[in-house]
Amino acid sequence: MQKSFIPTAAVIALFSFASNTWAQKSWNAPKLVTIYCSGCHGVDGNTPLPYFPKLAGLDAAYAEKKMTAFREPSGPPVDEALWWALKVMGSKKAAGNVTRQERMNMEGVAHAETPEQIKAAVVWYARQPPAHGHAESGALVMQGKELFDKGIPAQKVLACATCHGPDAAGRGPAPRLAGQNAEYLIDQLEKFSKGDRKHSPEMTMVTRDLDADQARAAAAYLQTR
Amino acid sequence: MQKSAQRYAAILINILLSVVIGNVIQPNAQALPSFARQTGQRCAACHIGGNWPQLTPWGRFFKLAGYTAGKSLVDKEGFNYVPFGVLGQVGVNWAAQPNDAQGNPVVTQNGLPEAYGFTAELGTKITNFAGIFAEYGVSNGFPGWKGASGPIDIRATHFFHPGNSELLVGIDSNNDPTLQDVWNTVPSWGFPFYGAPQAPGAPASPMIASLAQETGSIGAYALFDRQFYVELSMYRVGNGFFRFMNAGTSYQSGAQYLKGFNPYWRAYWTKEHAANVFMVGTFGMRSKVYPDSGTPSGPTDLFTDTGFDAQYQHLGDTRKFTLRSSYIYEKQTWSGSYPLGNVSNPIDNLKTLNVNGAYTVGDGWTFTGGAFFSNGSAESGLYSISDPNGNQLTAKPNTAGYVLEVDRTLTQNILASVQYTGFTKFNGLTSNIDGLGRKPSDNNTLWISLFFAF
Repeated sequence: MQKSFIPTAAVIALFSFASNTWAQKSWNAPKLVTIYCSGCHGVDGNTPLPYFPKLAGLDAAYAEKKMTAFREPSGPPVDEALWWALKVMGSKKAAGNVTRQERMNMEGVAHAETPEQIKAAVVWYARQPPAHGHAESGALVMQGKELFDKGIPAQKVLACATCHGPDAAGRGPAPRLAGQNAEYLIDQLEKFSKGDRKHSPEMTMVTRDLDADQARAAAAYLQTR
Repeated sequence: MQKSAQRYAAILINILLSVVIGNVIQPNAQALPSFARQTGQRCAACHIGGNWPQLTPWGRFFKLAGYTAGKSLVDKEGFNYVPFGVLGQVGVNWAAQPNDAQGNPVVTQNGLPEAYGFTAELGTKITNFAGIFAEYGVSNGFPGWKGASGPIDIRATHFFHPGNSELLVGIDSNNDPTLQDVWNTVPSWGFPFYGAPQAPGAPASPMIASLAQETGSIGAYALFDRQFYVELSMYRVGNGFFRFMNAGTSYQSGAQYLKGFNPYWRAYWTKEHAANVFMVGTFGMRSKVYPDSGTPSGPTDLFTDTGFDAQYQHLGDTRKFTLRSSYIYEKQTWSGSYPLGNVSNPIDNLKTLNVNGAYTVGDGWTFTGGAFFSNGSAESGLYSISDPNGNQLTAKPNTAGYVLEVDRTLTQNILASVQYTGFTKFNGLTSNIDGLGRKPSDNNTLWISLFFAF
């Protein structure tokens, strides 16, 4: 009796630890999400991997537009050596609305699937409840909150809340940022400021004068939302 | 008398090394360029930092889901991509001491640039629920080039959604136990991922790691909510129906000829937390093997392998590292070989431990270091080494060493690699491993290679 109790308790503990999110989560997603998107973004769009964006609650129209951008021609996604040779030979690269890193992972997906499947996937993610951000406080988060709410007038940096909404839930063409992975956000802010992401002139302008510490603060705050 | 004993020792070492080279350091495989064409993704999407065959979480899932993500091979507009690719490897290998004390070569082709193998691969989704990963290679067997089947893995999958959960169920057929696995801890995919075919390796390896391209399997697996995995496969000798998976294998001698169907099992639990992925698992196999593959009849030897493995992976945006370990305990019951006098004990054991870690920066550099240990019963039928006077020096398989490796992904299609393998113990000895004064460190090798995949 005593002997069998310990392994049984261990198994129950293991299962309950592993299944902490099972209760709320539905795994019954559209085929494209199940077999493809979820590999990186998670079935419920709340990926724990920090360098992929969370998609839960992301506006479907925004996500669909973004997927369309991945279909724009910019060269073969796979044969890097060949692509390099073409560039050397003077082929012109189309202006990118998406970054190289995104293209690496996303271009094939966008091309592989039909618009209907993509629509089903973005709608699925839009309906998923976003996970709560990591509750954190501290100087960096407070600095980020200040920046998000009020901007930095001295640097002519606009308050993020102006477009993304006071709760960062997204508004119109400005996507949801609340709870987004900080590592992903920092990466994107850097890409806007360097001109690697060009599709949003507003973001290019805002990030032009934003330094790395300020970007980190904004991202740290948004992750806690 | 003395001369013949010396010659005997030299021949034995050579046989031992050729067995090691033939069975342990299989030129095993890789990243498949055709999968990149199918998914439209770069190698780095599935392989950490583009450093194949290390898998990312997405790479693991792509494999478990039956290689089915991506474009259909054929639709009404015709073929969408080329489902084939070409892989190849060239390199130079230097041993600390390529010859023994009498000048006989222990490591051949020392310091000479060599082409090791060229492989054609077929990797594609077949339908929306089935896919294939297959290779056929022409490899340099030193001496001589020989064509043979490489790793082949065919699977079909279906997703069920009981309640609000997800249950991925698959059936799988392959030609090497652990080939179907998605973790870089198991024998088929463990570190070192590649080695020079001429370089010396540990003299003994467990049966589960010695059946590559000599078997065929049918099995089923299930993945629950992407956390719990269980699998049961049955392996049999790779002839008859499974011949296509093992073309090039001669069972006349030296191969492993399995009796009937032999069970292989696998279970693991994995969890992602922030940028970290943990896995703990267990695997094993119970194999009945005829003592002589040329005459597959009579009593068989029974090998019971029980393995445990664990992996921790940190996936930063630009910096990623992985810690891996695996331990395999093998019980060898020589019911076939002992009555024939091939071995000296009715029951032996062999324990192998592998521990290694890899650090990847961006999609460019990967630094890997690892240690390997094998320990087992003294078995003069398998591991005996005698000095020139005929006195037995050792009968133990105990070997220990380390591997240090730096890889550079030049383009995603070309990988340059520098690997140093060092031995601190060889065949249970820390000195005079061949009776002629050879040290374990004389087997140390430096290997520089270029690996391409298009």
